[in-house]
Amino acid sequence: MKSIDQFKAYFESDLKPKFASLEQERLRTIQKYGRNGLSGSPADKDFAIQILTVVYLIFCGYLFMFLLILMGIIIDAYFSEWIVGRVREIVFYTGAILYIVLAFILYSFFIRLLNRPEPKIPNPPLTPQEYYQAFNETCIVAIAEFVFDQFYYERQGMIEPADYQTCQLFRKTYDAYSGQDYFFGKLGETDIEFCELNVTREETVIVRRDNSTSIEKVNRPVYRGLFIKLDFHKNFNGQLFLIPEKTWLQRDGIGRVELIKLEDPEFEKYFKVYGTDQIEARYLLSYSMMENLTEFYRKFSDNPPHLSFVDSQLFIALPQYKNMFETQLQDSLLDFDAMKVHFINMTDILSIIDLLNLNTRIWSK
Amino acid sequence: VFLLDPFILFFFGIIGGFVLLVVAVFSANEYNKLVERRNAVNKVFSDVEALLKKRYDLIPNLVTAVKQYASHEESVFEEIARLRNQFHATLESIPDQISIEDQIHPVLSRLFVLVENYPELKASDHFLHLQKTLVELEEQISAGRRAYNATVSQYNNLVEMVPSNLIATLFRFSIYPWFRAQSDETTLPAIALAE
Repeated sequence: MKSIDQFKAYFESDLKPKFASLEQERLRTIQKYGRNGLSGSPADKDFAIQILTVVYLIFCGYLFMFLLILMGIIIDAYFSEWIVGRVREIVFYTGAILYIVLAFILYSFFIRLLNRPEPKIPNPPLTPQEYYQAFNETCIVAIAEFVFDQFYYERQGMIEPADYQTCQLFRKTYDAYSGQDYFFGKLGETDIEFCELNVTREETVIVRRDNSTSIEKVNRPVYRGLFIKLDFHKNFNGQLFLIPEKTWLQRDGIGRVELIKLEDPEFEKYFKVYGTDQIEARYLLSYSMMENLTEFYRKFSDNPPHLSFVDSQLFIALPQYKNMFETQLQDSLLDFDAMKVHFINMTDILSIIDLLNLNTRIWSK
Repeated sequence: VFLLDPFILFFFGIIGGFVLLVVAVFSANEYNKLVERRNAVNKVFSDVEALLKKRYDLIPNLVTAVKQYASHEESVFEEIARLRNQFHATLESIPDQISIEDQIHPVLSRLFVLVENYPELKASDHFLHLQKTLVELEEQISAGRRAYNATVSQYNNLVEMVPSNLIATLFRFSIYPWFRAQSDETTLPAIALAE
């Protein structure tokens, strides 16, 4: 596994030159869309028109009143009372009509000005969405090239729903299955696949507001977080589930298999083990494996890992509510600290292979 | 005279009947638990036995392979053959098999230490394949021993602890022997085989 110092050297020598052109694009995007990437949006434009109109009308109103007062002073000074009265009326009504006409003309001018087609420039800056995509395809891929021996990446890809169902950790049915940042790679002898998943189900709920009740459909999460599929280094036929003490899963969902009590008290403190075969459970969870899993749990204790051993594969679910491989427009691509986060995220996931010693496969498989 | 009062007799009869019922239900429950645990021990042991059989079927092939290069190491081969015969002769007895199992490990370990002196043997594909299979089996047997010990521990606790020990004594439930924990000397030297 590569160290942070090695990454720093690689960042300075290889990544900085590679990211330079995208960094220019980022600055151009910020120039056009602002640091939060929201300026220039249609909603923004509508708001600008409304503000300008109000400001303009207030300004014209003041101007109109000022002219009326000025004219009143002039007329009073030079004309008789009857004429003054008539002239005042004429001036007032004409002025009011003029004010309204003028307001309308200027308002339409504003709208035309704001809605005028963008001047076509030969190389327009990227929209924030295009920039985020370019970031993943350039920077995340470049970092992955450094971390993995071999890999495949797809920003909108995800682990197949069939694999999600095979792991059998989540007994609830789902209505929507989506994911992003799919990696398939190899580190040493071990194949690893992972992605961020968001699986939801539609539930009908009764909502009480004031004195009325209504039935509404809401999307409830079934699982959200990182989902990892690993090629396990031992063959086995049964199923084994490791559920942390702090879990969001319903335990009765796992009650279909036997609870297995193991010999390591430290390990038992963190995980409840359910399996189909007492001997196979101990074959998979050797003493050293239990120690490794305890270490693994401690490392990821903020998102307690759920593991399932099915079909000679190991599935790991690490629930969390943030997107790991995303950037912000204000994050510079030439800033090591901003890029380091993605390297650490990737190596943390791959460290599971070393932590669980999955590359040691002298005899089996 | 007081005790012969029909009402008193009826009262004590009801109380006595109730106590008997409670005792009977409790005894049946404890008895069932003991039988359940004993069956679990027998089940796990039969699984372990299947693994042990696999290993004893593999051992003659391994011995033949080693004999080709180290024919003068007779004492080890004889010891292995003796234990293998003993294993087949005592298939129904858990304590005997556990005793043989505790003896075979140091002997197999000696065999693998001996292999270290024969580089040609270590390079043989056939021998390496046999070693790989044996080490894999040993891992499974080790898991089986742990599973057996865990099940035996639950059963023996029931046999020895109050109040279930009363039922265990009455119905002659006896404790089962354990597999001894494997020390470093008795486990197979897998690292040496990895070359």
